[in-house]
Amino acid sequence: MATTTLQEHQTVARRTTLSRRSFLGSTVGTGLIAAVGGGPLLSHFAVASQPGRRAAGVGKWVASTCQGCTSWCPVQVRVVEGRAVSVRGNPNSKANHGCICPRPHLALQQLYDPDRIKTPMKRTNPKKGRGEDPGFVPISWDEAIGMLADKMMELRAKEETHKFAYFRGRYSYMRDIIYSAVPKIFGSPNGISHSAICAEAEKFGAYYTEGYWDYRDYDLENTRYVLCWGADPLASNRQVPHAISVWGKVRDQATIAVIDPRLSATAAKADEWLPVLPGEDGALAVAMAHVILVEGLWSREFVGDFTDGVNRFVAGQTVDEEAFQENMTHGLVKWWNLELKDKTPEWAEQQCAVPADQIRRVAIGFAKAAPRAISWLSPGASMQARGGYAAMATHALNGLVGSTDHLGGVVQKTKVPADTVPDFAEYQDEIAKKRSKEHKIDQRGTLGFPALKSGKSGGGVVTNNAADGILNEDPYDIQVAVANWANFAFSCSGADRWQRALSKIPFFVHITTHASETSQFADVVLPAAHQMFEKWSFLKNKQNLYGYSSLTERVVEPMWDVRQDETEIPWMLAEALAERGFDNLLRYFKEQFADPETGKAPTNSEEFALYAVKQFTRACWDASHPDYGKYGDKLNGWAEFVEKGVWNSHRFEPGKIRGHFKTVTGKFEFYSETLKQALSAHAEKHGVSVDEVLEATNYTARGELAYVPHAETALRWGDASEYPLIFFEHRSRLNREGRSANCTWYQAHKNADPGDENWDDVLKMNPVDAERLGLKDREMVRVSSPTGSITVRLKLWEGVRPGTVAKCYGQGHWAYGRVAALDFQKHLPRGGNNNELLPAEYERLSGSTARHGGVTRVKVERA
Amino acid sequence: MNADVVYITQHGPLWDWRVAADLFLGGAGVGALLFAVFLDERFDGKYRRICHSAAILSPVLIAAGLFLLVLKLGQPMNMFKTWLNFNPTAPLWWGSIFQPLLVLGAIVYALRWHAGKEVDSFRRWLGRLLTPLALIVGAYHGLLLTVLVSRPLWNTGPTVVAALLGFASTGIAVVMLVHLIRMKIAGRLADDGHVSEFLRNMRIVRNILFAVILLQLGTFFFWWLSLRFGSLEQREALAAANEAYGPMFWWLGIGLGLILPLIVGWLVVLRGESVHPRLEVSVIWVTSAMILIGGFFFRLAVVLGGQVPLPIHTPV
Amino acid sequence: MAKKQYGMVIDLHACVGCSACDIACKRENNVPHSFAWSNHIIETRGTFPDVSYRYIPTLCNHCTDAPCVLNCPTTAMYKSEDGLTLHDPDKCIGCATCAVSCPYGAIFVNHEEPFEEIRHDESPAIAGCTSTGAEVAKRGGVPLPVYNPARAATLPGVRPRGVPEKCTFCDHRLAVGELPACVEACPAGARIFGDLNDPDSAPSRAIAKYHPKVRNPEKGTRPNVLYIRDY
Repeated sequence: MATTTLQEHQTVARRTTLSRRSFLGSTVGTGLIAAVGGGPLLSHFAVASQPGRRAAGVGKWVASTCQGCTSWCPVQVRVVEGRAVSVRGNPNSKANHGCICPRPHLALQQLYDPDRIKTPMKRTNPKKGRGEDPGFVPISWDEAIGMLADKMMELRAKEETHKFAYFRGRYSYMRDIIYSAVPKIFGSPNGISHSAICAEAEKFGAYYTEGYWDYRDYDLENTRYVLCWGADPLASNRQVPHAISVWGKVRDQATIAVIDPRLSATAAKADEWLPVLPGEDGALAVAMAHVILVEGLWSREFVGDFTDGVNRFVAGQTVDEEAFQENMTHGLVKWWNLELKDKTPEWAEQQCAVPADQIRRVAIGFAKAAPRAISWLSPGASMQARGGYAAMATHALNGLVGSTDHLGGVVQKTKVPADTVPDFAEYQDEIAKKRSKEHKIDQRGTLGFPALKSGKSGGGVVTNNAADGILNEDPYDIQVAVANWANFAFSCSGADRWQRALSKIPFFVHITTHASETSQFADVVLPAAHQMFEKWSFLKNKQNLYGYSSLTERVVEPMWDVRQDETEIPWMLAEALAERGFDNLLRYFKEQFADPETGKAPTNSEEFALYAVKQFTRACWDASHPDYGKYGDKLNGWAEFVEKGVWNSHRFEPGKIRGHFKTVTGKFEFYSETLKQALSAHAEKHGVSVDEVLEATNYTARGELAYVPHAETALRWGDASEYPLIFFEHRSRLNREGRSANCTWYQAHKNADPGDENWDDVLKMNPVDAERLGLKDREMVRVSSPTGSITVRLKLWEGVRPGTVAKCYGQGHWAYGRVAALDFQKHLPRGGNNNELLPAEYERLSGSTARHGGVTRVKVERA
Repeated sequence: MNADVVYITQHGPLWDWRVAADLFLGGAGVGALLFAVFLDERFDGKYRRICHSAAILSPVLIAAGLFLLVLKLGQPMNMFKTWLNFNPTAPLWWGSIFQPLLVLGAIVYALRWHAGKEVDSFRRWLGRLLTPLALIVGAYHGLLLTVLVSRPLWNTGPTVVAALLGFASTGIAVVMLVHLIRMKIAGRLADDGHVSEFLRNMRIVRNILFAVILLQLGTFFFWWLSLRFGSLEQREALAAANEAYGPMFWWLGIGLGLILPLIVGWLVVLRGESVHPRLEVSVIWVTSAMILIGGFFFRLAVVLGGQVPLPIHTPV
Repeated sequence: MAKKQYGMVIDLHACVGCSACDIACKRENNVPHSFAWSNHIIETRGTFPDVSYRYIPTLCNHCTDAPCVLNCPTTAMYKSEDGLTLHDPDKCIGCATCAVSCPYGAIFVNHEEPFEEIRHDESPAIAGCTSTGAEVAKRGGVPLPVYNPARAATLPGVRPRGVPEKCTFCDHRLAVGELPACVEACPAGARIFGDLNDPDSAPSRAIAKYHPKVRNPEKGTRPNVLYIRDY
């Protein structure tokens, strides 16, 4: 038996880093295994278990959080000699319980990407525009921040501080320092978040039915039916690893039906695939509601019943409202009379192209499985030009069968206690107070952009419209802008508008890890720390019915001269502004932030970054915080939080919200009094009728229909005769929100997205269409919409509906790096960016970008 | 049902033309040696010059093949490790022992011919000793491919037979061709007696060649039959190889390398004694060249064709 | 104690085709991007709308009767005492017979120096502002920008030009009591690893419960990677 010790193994591993084999000889010594022993993972293959010894030889696991998508999974990073070498799920987390999807692995290639920006840089070519080489040269942090501070001070001198804008892309919960405090103390209303290009329309559905403006959670463990509306939980948002880990069990216990024009990753693992015509989800949803009512399969317990117990829901027949006694819902009969009575599966088949018998079968199956059933709404079925009502309709199914807030159904979230920026009102001077009340650059709340977040006109952001605001100087011209962790020149539909808008801004600063498309228009580019490995922050989220607060930690010391975007950079800016005579921001940081453990005020940017995280997360670890231990784990001090990396809430208990919804009626609203109030207020604000609001927001419904979930015909750009195919896009299971295309692992494994190809960005077309158009598999094609065109490779695939073409989002970078772009120097993209095809269209009631629902038609020609 | 199966493994053939060249040169070298031994036995040292050509060609060809193979190796400096590690289940290991041994033996054999004795009992004895070794090396060149269960095109009995027969035809052809060139340079058709007598005596060689070619054709036919009507995998392998390298195999390997020489040779036979020796020499010249070109491309088509990716059969 | 035979059972019912295994393998073993030790077959069948899709993870089968081992002229490819099929680059002459022998396409040959493009990358995207592969590696004191030093315990951390490479079931991890990287990375729990000679091991129990299948059983290689249930 060999007696090699673990220590020796470690030494050898170190010595042999440079590719010499020298250690184990011809066999992997069984002796070694016996000598070293196995950790708990190995216990099932009968190796003498000696827990604890394993870790010593292989570095240290340090907690952090992956922000590759918005699942925000707690992870651990293995650090060996100061370098991150691998990633795994954080076993302390009850949400993802030690599981991760492919994305965190890719992050390692982002961290050590040779194309990362090493130093602040400034533009030397004053001419801005796509194709212009910015002529970046390295500069110091002092010079870079100084340039920004100078420009900002010019605005203060002119008392035009509102002409400063901060564009927020992805964020951590440190966000409000740079997004809220900085602009408002400086004097600008323009903290513009990316939220509306993300999934706000989805929240619209839950809010105007059950008064919940947020993403839902799903009790997969106990469900008996999963109905995915464009949702692809095995591949993307918002609980990927948990969904993956439990899917085998879900398939054993439940029926899975996936509504998606493409055979998605989840559709491939489902019992039913309903390849809906893009943008016609609403028709499908109301037809299902129709079937559920006609078949008498609604939840008596949740919804109520006819007073005499006789089902009067018969196709085409109006029902007397008085005949039905509702329980925890509101307006069922109104909904039936206004919308559902004629919406038979046969009618829907004409609209959405899903066969009537399949609609009937799925609706009945779903309702019979209920209340342990999930109608899972996603951006695919809501981020459509007329998707607001589709979002309501799909979520209303949960109300109809009583699966909302129920075991095995769709639930809300547990509280994750956290603090945010301390009040800064007293640090706002007169200019700041006045100017931060100016209208915002995204035109939210105007007649055509109600953006009814949480029921308030102009309550939400209209991200993508900010470009038009800038271009049209409406309501004013933006003079100085900072964008962080955002790549709107790539990620917003109608991307060319952003390219022009950013070119127009006289002084633009981009905070980023890579020289992305947006950087190409910047005057100054600031290199950001990588969120998962180099930054202190925290995230809040939920999966698997657990809420959590998860730290991102500085796992390794940065290789380059980078700074933490949301904390260090504001601090440095505050110092520079103070040097130039405006010290309110720095005073705020120094006076309102302190290390909760020592009470010490921050003296430099790194201290500020760390203290701010400790301050915001106190409820998780500091026994003196009023919320400590109230909602979940009691972590014993900051050190334990750092070590564990995650705070878990108690498990969500369904059933407590039923009947106490935060709607106007307190009920689950099929006839939305809440929406009626919001729409009426918006109409009143602009002195118009609700019908006029509907017209201004591209909806076809008029009258009472505005207040019930209903089917709207899809809005599409392009004439069918010139643009014969409906274009729709989807997400990649490898996308780190469009930021992973520079990783070779991304490119080399891209075909893990069904239908896609490695190292490519293919347009997927049904062979039937290709034959009709005389196109061949794998040839290069030019895809044109009324607003733009791209050239990509054609892939013939049976997994897309004839008449539609699909392409994944995330590729087509013409900057970002030398892998993402085919030729970085020449600005040649690898593939094509969907956002150059997609027009800047909106779901205006929520302010969302309508990137789904087949918003444009295209023509496809041989290139 | 429509099925689209994607399985991305390493691109391109792992074994390239150099492996085909080794099979070809090694085969020809073995054939040349056996040819020399045969002539020595049959004519008792009468055709010293041609035997001399054959004996010298043999180690040169085998060594050249080996050299190309070594060039193809990723770590040629590790070659010697083959002799330090025993793996009797690997034909390549046997080959790495026997092929160099054969080269050594063939060199000694060639030197004995070079010494120029008409009758040399050591040479005769060495020739007899080398014969089984040469046959083993010849068979090894087929066995190398045959044992690969991963390659249905090769994984059949006829592969070995084809290799054995292949060395006979290419061996004779290369010797005749080179010998004729050598004599041409020397200014004479044949110095071993009168040319027509030489040709007459060589007819047994011609007949052997005919027989070998016919046997080869039979083998290929049997090979094709076994694949064409074999398992699904064999049919797929044949179809895949045919699609990529069919023309090379059929036109060059079979047509140019076997059928055409057979026809030309047969026409000469039909003309009988009326054929002018000069024409007959030209025919030998041309048919030998055809056999060699065909022989190389046949091997190339088989080596590359055997590595064409096959349809993937999933485990469920 | 009976001799070990490490093996893996892949539960296709649990697998969702996410490719985390493939990527984790690349990371763990410093595998060039042109190969995939942990790989997959993708299958789309049928005609719209009756279409099915399957993703079948593949890797070296660590066959009991491994053709690569049988045909290796130098015993560079060998069976370990634990039933792993391993390769010793020091003995290898680079003849590629192993790769040609493998019915599963699981052995890859480095015709060129692995990671050549990144190790010799010396022209940055933006001069003075972004880095190069060579610089990142040098600053990190490692051969590659992303590099796992643990791999070097039993194999060259990056294999030299001219030799083949393949899945080792992460022998270097087994040696320190860890599961193969693909197993650890699988969020679906679809990869069940252990000693097939131990009837109580997790893979043995899975084999006993379901009807396992192997790739190309007609090849007679006796694979130790088995598949259960359907995708």
